[in-house]
Amino acid sequence: MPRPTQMRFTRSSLIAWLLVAGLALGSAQAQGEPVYGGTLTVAYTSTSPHIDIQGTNQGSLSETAHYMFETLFDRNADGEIEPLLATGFEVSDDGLVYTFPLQSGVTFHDGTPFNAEAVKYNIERKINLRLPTWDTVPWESIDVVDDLTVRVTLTGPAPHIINVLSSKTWSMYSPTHAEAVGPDGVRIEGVGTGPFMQRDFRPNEVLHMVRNPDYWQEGLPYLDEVIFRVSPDPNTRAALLESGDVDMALGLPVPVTQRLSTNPRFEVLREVAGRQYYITLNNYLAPTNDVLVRQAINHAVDKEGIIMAVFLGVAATVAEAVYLTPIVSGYQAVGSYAYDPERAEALLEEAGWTMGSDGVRVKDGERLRINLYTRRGAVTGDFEIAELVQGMLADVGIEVDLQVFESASFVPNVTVPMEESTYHMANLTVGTVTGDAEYIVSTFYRCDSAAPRLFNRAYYCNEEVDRLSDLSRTMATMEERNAIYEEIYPIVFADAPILQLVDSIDSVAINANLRGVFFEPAFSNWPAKYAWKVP
Amino acid sequence: MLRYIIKRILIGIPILFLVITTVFFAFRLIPGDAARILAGDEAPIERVEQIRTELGLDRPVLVQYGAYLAGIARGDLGVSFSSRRPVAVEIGTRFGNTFSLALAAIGLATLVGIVLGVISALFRGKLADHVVTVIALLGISVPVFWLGLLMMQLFSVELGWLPAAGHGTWRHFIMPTITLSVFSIAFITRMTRSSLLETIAQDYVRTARAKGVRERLVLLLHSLRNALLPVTIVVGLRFGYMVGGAVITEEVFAWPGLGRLLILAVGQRDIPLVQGLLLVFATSFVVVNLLVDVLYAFLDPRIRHR
Repeated sequence: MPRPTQMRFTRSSLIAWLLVAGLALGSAQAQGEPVYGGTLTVAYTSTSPHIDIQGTNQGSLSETAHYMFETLFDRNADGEIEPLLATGFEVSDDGLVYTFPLQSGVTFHDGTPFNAEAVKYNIERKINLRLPTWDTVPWESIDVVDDLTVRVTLTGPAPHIINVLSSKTWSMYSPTHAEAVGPDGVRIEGVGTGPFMQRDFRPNEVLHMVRNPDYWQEGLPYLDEVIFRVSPDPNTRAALLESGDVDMALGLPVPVTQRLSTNPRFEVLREVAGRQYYITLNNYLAPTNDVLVRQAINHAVDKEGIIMAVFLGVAATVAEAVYLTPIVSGYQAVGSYAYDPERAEALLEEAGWTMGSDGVRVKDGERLRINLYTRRGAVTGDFEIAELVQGMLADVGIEVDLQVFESASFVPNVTVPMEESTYHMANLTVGTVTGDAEYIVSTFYRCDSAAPRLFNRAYYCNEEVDRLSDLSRTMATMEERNAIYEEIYPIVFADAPILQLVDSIDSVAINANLRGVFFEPAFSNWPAKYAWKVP
Repeated sequence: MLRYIIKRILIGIPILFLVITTVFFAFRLIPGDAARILAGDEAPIERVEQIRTELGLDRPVLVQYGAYLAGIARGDLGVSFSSRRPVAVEIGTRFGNTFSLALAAIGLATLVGIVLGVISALFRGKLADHVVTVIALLGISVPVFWLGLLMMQLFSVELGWLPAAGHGTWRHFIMPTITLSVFSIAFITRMTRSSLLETIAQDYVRTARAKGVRERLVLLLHSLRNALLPVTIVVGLRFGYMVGGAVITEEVFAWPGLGRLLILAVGQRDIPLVQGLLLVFATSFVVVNLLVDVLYAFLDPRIRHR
């Protein structure tokens, strides 16, 4: 693994960073002497018919975007933030004014200089077009201080701004190009500052990029070309890798990666990803509005069993926090409800649900029958998980009515106002798109985050959590903010708004002669920016 | 003949209109929200509403329908929701891929199917006939994706002879063509066999035999021409299906054709694109049918229309 720079930010001081380029070069050499030239071909699946990374925040798009575009800040293999187009930042004591010095000597692929005007243009473009995650930071104004310095003024503290700016959807577009082609043009043609330039893009077929000869990081990149080929069938992607047609295959089924990992011609890299599998519990509808029932459901489900059965023991770990995965900044493990059917039954008894003659619990003549909405194949193992949960809940006397939806109709059905909701349980996954816990607290934990406005599909609402969350929004530093989050987490955990399941472990299979590929955990990407091939 | 062709074309127009209208309203009835899908699962409601306005989906359904029909009348298929490019461009860039694959597959299927069918009929009840029958049965029952993956495993992974998937050179054509044609080969084989055997029982064949023409010549010269008449219909129909129905083959071999486009478009509730595609499929079906009828009339003077 290349381990590019690991640097921490200190407050109120402008940090003079070394050129990332030199360090990156050094880290790549840890795997042997890099060789220039060659073509990297990647088989992946994309449902995105465009390459407008600013316009969306989607995994398969992030996977390709960073070859052409760059952000002010980047993430390294440890998920730590490091400088990229910004060389650092300075923040006022009240946490409201951020000053970003920029990397000099950078030009976009079309020759437009990268400077403070370009940064101002891009941030304002996101805000004005209301493009994804524009609302995660309380922006006041973006000002050009000088050619290579930008000042961002906020209406309230938002120490996670650096996390936000490091996500791929905050990529810098050439202002000249973006203005010339307009919002529809940037969907098919990308002009950034990245190590590769677009040569050919055919939606749902291929994204072909060539080396940027004027790339600002000395000596990079090594490869001449990078080709992303869309191949929707996972078995076909495996065959493409095995036949040598491609060097890297993304999104392979677990049994396939298991098989490939025993073949010396290939290497399978695995890392804990930023995605959690969970089943939302409707905190509004009876009987899941009873915290005892929700806790019982959590105790009744064997997460280890799910990992063994669905993820073959290797592609997931038990989730230790509500919605949050370990790679998210501000994460703290709070635990998992132990698999304990007896405890689950005791909790149900306590809630007044007594065992009926047919194995289903009853209370006031009402059977303990709840529904579970799920998709089949939208993400790996979703339907299998739903079936297992159905069986495990039956063991403690809960009858589950499994309802399978097609993807396109599932989301509208579980994205409705509380009063119109019809699901007791909905089988979902979540990724922390900014790589920072603020996203989860603001869009899943708070009362005002209830669906359909945001993603709190549990309709979870706890005034104490809201009060603490409000307080956290006045904190100027991550340390102070995280201290408050650490008070919030146990409260949410005890309220059991969801059935907390597992965190996925992501994998990629590569040809063994490919070096320098690493996992970027914050956004679950496998960048090959530093990659090179053994001839 | 010309009047017949014109009549057939005029009949095609209401069929296409029906297709457009049915698809348009069907998509309003089935669940699924294009704006929500485009915005993504993790998009706030404001963004969803914004996209809905951009797409014009906030207008009354009848207004949208009227605007769509007006567009069609001008030859404008509209703009794809998901790519924001004209539907005509989306389809145009892929039509050639699907059409060439379908052409290759129907060519292979016709050739192999007729040869196997003739062999089967020539050696009726003998070993060769049984072998062909088993092959045809396998061809009809084998799942397309399984056959595709199996060939990929053998010819790409194990032997390294052919590229596993994708599109570009003639070598990329081989496995998808075989995969797509297998069902049709089987179908055409059976059709040729039964049609040929049926023709053999006709009076004119008996006459030829009575004249002392050698048995194989009777089959090939006297019977085959007539026996192939129903086969042309099957070939035409299969070709029509292939243009619109190569979905699985295209998915397995990552072939950038219309079938894959349709899957994506339906999944994303990209209504203009789905409508455009179905219009193309319906049109090709109507055109192929017309061609087959004309050819049929041409081949068989008995059913020629004035």
